[in-house]
Parts: sequence; C-alpha cells; structure tokens
Amino acid sequence: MMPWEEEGSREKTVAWRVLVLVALTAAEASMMPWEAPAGAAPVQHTTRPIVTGTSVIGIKYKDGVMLAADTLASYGTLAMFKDVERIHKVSDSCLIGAGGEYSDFQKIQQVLDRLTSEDRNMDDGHQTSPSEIFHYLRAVMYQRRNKMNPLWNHVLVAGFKEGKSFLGSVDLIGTAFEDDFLATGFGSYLAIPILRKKWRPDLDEGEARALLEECLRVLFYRDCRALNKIRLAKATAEGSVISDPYTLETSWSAASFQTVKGGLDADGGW
Amino acid sequence: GTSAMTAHRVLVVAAAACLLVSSGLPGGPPAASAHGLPGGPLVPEALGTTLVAATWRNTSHCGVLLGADGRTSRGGVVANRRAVKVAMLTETVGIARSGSAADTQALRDAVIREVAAASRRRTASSLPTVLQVASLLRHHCYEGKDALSVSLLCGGWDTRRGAQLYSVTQGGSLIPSDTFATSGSGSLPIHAWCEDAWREDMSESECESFVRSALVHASKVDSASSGPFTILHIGPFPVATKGRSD
Repeated sequence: MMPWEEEGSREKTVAWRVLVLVALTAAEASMMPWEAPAGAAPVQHTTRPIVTGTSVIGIKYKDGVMLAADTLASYGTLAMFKDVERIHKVSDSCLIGAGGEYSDFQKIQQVLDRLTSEDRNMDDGHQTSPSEIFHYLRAVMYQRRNKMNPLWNHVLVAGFKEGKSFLGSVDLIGTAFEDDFLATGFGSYLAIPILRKKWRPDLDEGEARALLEECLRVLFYRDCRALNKIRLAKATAEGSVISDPYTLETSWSAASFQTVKGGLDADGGW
Repeated sequence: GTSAMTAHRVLVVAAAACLLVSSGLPGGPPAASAHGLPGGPLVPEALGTTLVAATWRNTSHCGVLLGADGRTSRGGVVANRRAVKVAMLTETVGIARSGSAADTQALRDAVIREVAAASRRRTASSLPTVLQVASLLRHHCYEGKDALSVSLLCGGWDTRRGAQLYSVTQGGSLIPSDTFATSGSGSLPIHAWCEDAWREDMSESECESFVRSALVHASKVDSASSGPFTILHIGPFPVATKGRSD
C-alpha cells in the first residue's frame, strides 16, 4: 500500500515528499558514488606511493642555493614518465623539489601556490619568505602524518631572500631541518658523503653545478629508479629559475669493466 | 570574427577480431583481481588492460588516437570479451579506462555529467579544454585515491593548445605527454617498443598502425589483454593557432 493510496494520504504524501527533498539537499551535491558519507566506518588510507620520483639534492653556494633532480617518475619498476618536473618554482625567492608520490607533490604545489597567490592579490610588495614557506609546509606535512594520511613526499625547500640563502628538508612524517647541503631518498646515502667531502660555502656557479652533476651521475649508476636526464634550479638575488632538461654523460669504459676479473666464472665487476 | 572550425569527426574504428592463439600455460597462480588480492588493485600488473594513446600532427592538422584492448578480466576469467574501454566525455575530449571496471565507469559517467553541467553555465561558444577535463578527472582520482582503482588516459583537442594527451594515474597524478601514453598491465612489456616506434611526423593512418601494433604486441604476452581492439580517432582538427583567446 503506497502512501498515496491510504486514507488521508494527501497530507502524508506531502510530508513524504518534503522528507525526501530535505534528504536530497542535505546530501552533498558533489558527492561521488565511491565517497563514504561523513561518520562512516574508519578508512584506511593508501599505504604506498604509486608514481614516484627519486632523489633531490640541494646545496648552498656563493650566489644562493641550487637544487637538482632527474626528470623521471617511475611506476613501480617501470621508468614510465621520463620528462616530468620534480622541481617547482613557488615564488621569485623560493623553489621546492620532491621525491615520492608524484600526485602528492602536485597537491603540495597547489597548496603553496595558494599561499603565494595571496601575496600577489594583497599587492603590497611583501612576499612570503622561503623560511616561512618551509615552516608552513612542515606544519602541513606533520598534520597529515597525525591523521595517518601523509603526503608521501620528501621535499627540499630552497630560496634566496634579502641576501640570505635558505635550504631546508621536510619529509612525509614532518621531520624538518635546515643545512648547507641536503639530499632526499637514495641521495641521502650516496650523495651526502660526496657533498661532505667536496662542498665549500664559496663554490661558484660552475663548481656548484659540477658537484651536483657528479652526485646525480653516481645516483644514476647506483639507484635503479634514477635517470640521467636532469634539471638544475637556482635561487639567487636575480630570482629563481629552473633549467631545461639535459642529459648527463656516463662512463662504462673502465678497464676492469672491459676485461672483467674472473671472467665468466665470477660475478663480474662491481 | 572567429574563423569557422572545420567539421571534426570522431570515428570509432573497431578492429577486425584479432585472431590470437591462446598460449596460456596450464595451472599456475591465478591473476590478481582488481580488488584487494595479493598484488592489490594498485600495482600495474593488476590493471588488466592495455591502453595506448598517441598524438599525431602535420603542418595543417592534428589529432589524438585512444586505443584499448577488449578484455575485461575477473581474476582468471574473461568477464567480457568485447569490452569497450574508450569513451568521449565532450565533443572533443575522450578517455581510455584501465583499473576497476566499476570505478572507471562510475568516474566516466560522473565526469560526463559534471562537464555538461559546467558547460551549461558557460557561454555557448566555449567547449571545455582538454586540461579542464583532465583536471576534473585528476581531482576525483586524487581525492578518492583510497577508494578508487583507476588509471586513465585523457586525450583530445581544444583551440588553446591543440591536440593533447594526459595520463591520470592511480593516485591522481596528472602528467602530460607530447608523444604517446600507455596504461594497464599490458603496457609494461610494450612501453620501450612504443618509445622507439612513435615518430613526430606520423600521419593519422600511420598513428593508427602504431597504436594497433602496440595493442597487438601487448595482447600477445599479457593474459589480461586481448582483441578486438577499439581505437577512437579524435580529429583531424586544425593545428591550434597561438594567441587565440578561448
């Protein structure tokens, strides 16, 4: 028996229709079929990154700060996207570079762009400093970690403002610190020892670039998920700029690679 | 005044049934299904499909081809042997779907409605751009990353940037491509071949050969991919004139 079939059903029908209408408008207009309503059972968030970038390296030098990263986004073991940008210009004084989940890096770019567009709209000549951007990002990353839903990235924040260089690192659980040279991912194991040996505060641009290229070359040799196509970026008094991608030369011609000790009986070179 | 846009056509070309000799080995572990089994929904191997998309251009015209295989698998069983995994979202933007069939169908239908509703709010002359549609897809894939198992290729044409191709990956990354893009379990074995075979100066028919060959190669080795293929031609369109406002 339908509501409209009963005695006195007219009033009931109206009430029923109003109820349905209220329920529909109360539901979010933009609710997608796969979205759970608020207050539903606890959700387990994704526990692994899918499309990933590898190391980023940053060093302070004479004129400012330089970042370097390859242009690869891997899909598991597949080197799928070979021309992506893993360094982003946040403002004239600040750059960020990240490894980890690429979609979360794109989200971080959107979040920080909102900060800087506020600067633009206020139009009062003030620009959020690299240090402020770094600390804001740390707060964001730590809060997501507390919600057990991290932005799965390790980010380097590099900048130059009012004569001072800035270089900081924030990771997916909110660990944050600053230093003269930093690296993420495999770089923290392979590049940092090289930088500890060869970095000086008075490196000029050519030396800084050579040092970063040396680190990325070693990473290409020893990190499975690295590529020898790289971009460099610098933040100086002239502003911040990211280079076009270019390919690093590699060497496979060492004598011990040509004639391998032990031949076929052994495991080859190293 | 605005120059008249040459009539564009969208051709759905269903390939002749691909005669594949099944060479599956007896026994062995069942393929991971799209939801929750070991290997999970999130690894490339579980997105049982091959999608290949490519752009082509010459001096006057350009276009995008979206190609997909025809097998929907549920574990080791072929649930649909004549699946159609490509669709148009607007008059000039299409997608190819891989991942969970249910999720990608729901996403496709939701975005068709969303884009149509947004278009009604704009002036009649402006079609959504490819990036706008791809960004909508990316937004849903990113915000719903815990619930969705989806990896899409979004391609099309607009007056602003001409023929374009975007990957919207599992997790919600939006990655553009000037050349080709692939997705699904069958994409891994053919990815390097595609890099070698794609050329900048292909005609539309050469581009179709490229897409078709890639799908054939993938289907030979991926048990989750098989013909008949569907190849969606978006275009030909005039090469976008720089400096035009939308």
